[in-house]
Amino acid sequence: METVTAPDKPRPIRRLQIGANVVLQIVLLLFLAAMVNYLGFEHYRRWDFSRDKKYALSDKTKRVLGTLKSKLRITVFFAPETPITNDVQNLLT
Amino acid sequence: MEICLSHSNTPSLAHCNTPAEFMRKFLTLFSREVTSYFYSPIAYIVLLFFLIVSGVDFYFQISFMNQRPVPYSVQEAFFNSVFFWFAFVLIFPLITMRLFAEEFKLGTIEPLMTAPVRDWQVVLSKFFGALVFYLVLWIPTILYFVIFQYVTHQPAAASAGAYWGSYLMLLLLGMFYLSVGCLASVLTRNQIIAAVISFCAITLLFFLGLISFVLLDISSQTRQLLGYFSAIEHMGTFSRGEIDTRPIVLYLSMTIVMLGLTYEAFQSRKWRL
Repeated sequence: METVTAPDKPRPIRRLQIGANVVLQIVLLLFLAAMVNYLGFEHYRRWDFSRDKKYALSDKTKRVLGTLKSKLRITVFFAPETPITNDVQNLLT
Repeated sequence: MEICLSHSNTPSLAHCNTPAEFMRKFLTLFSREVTSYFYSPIAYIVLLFFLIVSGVDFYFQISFMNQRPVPYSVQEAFFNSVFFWFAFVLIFPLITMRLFAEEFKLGTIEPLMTAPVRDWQVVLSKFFGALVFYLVLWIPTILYFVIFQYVTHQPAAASAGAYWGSYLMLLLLGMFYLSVGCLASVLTRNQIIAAVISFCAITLLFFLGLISFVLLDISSQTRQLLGYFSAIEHMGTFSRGEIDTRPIVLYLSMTIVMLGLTYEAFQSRKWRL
């Protein structure tokens, strides 16, 4: 048979300690999320599942780009009413 | 709530630590959340409202495309129209406002918090309950495309990948905005206040990407950063059938952050003055 002792006065909870703990948890959570997003922003992959692969570079283009030795700066001028403006913009982003 | 039995057949709380036990409690809470949605009239009003707006959206897109040649498909137009945006932003406050606020108001939160369940089980069950209801909202829209193909014998989307992309994006955006709604609901006991907070936050988040159209003379780095957070742009990319890992990382991580904050705010009832 277990002896049941009457509980003595409830101990007061340490609000300051719990509060500091919670703040620390939140800061850590935000920091981790920021780091994950930074990595996700820097290293990403993109797949084109549309049927005609309109939004991916063709193999030919990739081969030409592979032969480049240094950085290349291309400036493209487009009138906004040209029908392919949107497609070009999507490809460049 | 149930109390698990230990081997000596005496009720005890100390033996509830097996994963199966955790899962069983979670499922009990989860089914309670899901059924409570369908017991309230609000669910059916939201469903009806949403069906009307998405139906009108679909009808407008088709009649617009009937009159002129356009370079996109019905499915792309459906997920990238102003109609869609407004209905989309509005449903989250309606779904999430009652989650915690109603329980605080009615006092049913007290038996829930004293029951032998963990606080994170409560938070997760509420979140996933809302997610199930949100997914139920979207099921009829699949019918639109099926009927469209059946009637016109034309493909509604350019490729199967476009369907996968747009519904994946709906799931990701839904998870993030529902978790924002959870946080708003746990902060107050008034449902209207919860709805206003989450509506404000979700609208700002959703239309954040439009800043780059307003401010024209910003650097390309800022533009890229804004694009990273732009839900409208993500929806555009995914509904074309392009799958990008960046939005997936963003929305999953932000969902976890928001649920973490919800958990802390929920638990603070136990220690704050």
